[in-house]
Amino acid sequence: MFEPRLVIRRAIEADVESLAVLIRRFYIFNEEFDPAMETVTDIKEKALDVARARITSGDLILVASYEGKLIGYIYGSILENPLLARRRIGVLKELYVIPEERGRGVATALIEAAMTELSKIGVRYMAVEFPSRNVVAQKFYEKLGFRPYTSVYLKEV
Amino acid sequence: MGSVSLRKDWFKLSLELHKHYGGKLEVIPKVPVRGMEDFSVWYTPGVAEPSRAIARDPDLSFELTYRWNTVAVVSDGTRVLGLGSIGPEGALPVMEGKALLFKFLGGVDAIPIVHRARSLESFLTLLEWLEPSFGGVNLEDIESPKCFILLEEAQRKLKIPVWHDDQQGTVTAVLAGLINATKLVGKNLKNNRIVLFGAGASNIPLYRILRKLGVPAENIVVLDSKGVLHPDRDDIDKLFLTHAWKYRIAVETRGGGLKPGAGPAEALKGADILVAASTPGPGVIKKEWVAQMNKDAIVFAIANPIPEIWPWEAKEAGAKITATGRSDLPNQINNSLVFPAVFRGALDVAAKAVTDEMLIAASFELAKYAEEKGLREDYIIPTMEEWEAYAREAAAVAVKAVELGIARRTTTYKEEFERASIIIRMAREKWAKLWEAGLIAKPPEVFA
Repeated sequence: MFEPRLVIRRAIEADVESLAVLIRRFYIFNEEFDPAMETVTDIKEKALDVARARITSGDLILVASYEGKLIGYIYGSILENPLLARRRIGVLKELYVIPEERGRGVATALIEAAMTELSKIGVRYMAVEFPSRNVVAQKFYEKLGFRPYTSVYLKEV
Repeated sequence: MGSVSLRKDWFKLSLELHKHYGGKLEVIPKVPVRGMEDFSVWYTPGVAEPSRAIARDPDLSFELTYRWNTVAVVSDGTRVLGLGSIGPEGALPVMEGKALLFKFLGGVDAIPIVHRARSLESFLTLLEWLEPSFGGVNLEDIESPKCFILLEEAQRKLKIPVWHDDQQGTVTAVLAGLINATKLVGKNLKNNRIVLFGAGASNIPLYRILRKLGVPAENIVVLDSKGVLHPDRDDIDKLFLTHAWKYRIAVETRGGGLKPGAGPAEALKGADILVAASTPGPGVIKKEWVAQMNKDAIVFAIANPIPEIWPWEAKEAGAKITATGRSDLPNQINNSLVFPAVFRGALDVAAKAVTDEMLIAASFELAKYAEEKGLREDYIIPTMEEWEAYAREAAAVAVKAVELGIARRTTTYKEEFERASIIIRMAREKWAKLWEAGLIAKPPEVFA
């Protein structure tokens, strides 16, 4: 599936700066889809804090590294609901691969790795969030076997 | 420049003459009509038989009707000349003018069609619906990036040549110029640093053609108004969503090894070739940038009406060969050298498409014609007066279409050269006879 020099692994302290760049680009990308996703002006600095926080938290944060360079990441967390038979599901919230490396299966590799991580801790379902208007993402996830699950609507208060 | 100050007069004169003549075209029969009974052949009852034959085999429409020589010149009026989105009616005089050039330079019957289909889908549907009437489609004056997707989709759906002159016409002329310019100074396209300034209708397809000719992506740098197209540019994901062509160029060229955020000054340092197709100059391309280019630099600045940099400025800065889009300066990169001939060739073999290979064949033929005449710094491409070049281009295009297996009829170079020569000459002679006979109204004093 992916090239041998591609490594998918958990993000570590040394990744903070590179990861922050990817996180920032992910958010600037999403800004295109919805005005409600407008980013803060000092996103560069804030992204560093977010990257650091995620690495130290117990959340799912994996990076794709190609010849030592970070080329993509995936971020998700676990949602718990004691009323549901399947109490926990993994929710992917962010996925980004840099333009030069797209179309080579890096995103798929990141998702498969995330699935493996989830199944290790006994989570049976994985959900994924993306802007409704991101048709490319919709097609991509459908191709991987994802189906519509919940819908999120938005209104100004 | 004298011709710049003249422009005001051109506008006034043109308006007056358009009014005087009520437009520029009319339809004239080409068959004998000696008496009313001849209509029984051309029209009912006789015409039922060709109709029946075509109904059985629609491709016979290329033999039994005027379709074989007829092209639709289609615009939605969203980017007319330098005037912007002025609406379909506003585009009509331009389309009529284009049709006039089609007839005079290529012997092609071109029908202006301006329309109100605003969405891409409706525009495409319109073309599909109109296809049976025409042997080809020439798209004109359509905004970017809509023009790219429209051309790609229309080429995929229609079984006749679809051409967007701002893309393929310009590229064919530019390529012909580049072939001879590089030859003249002993450069080689494949190992030169090529800078494309402006990422619009002509440079985007020029990039694709250069790649097809084997130029490595990393040798090419493409700049838009925000700087070099680079995979690490801040708006790269926006391009991913809104401009697939710029995005692909950014990713493939990787910004030509430059840093994200680099501008023309960095891009031109050590470059061999500059093709500027952006916004009217002067002063858009700076002399000091050109001065940083390699020895014997080639500078094409083709914005109209004023090039991005005047050729004499580029030469003062060290450029060896220059070209512009202007008829009053040497080496005019002129679409009119291309579209009448490409369609002449494509129509004469009832081609199902017009491909990059046909366009490249036209470029090489055009270049060869100029080379045989003798290349000079101020002569790298033929002029519109050299009308033998059109028949030769037509022949090269027709033969290529046959070779590619997309022609409904076969031909040879010699046969098509002769046919094209006759058709083009006939178009002019018919007009000349009408003119001599006084059947074309004399113009008012101002144009006499």
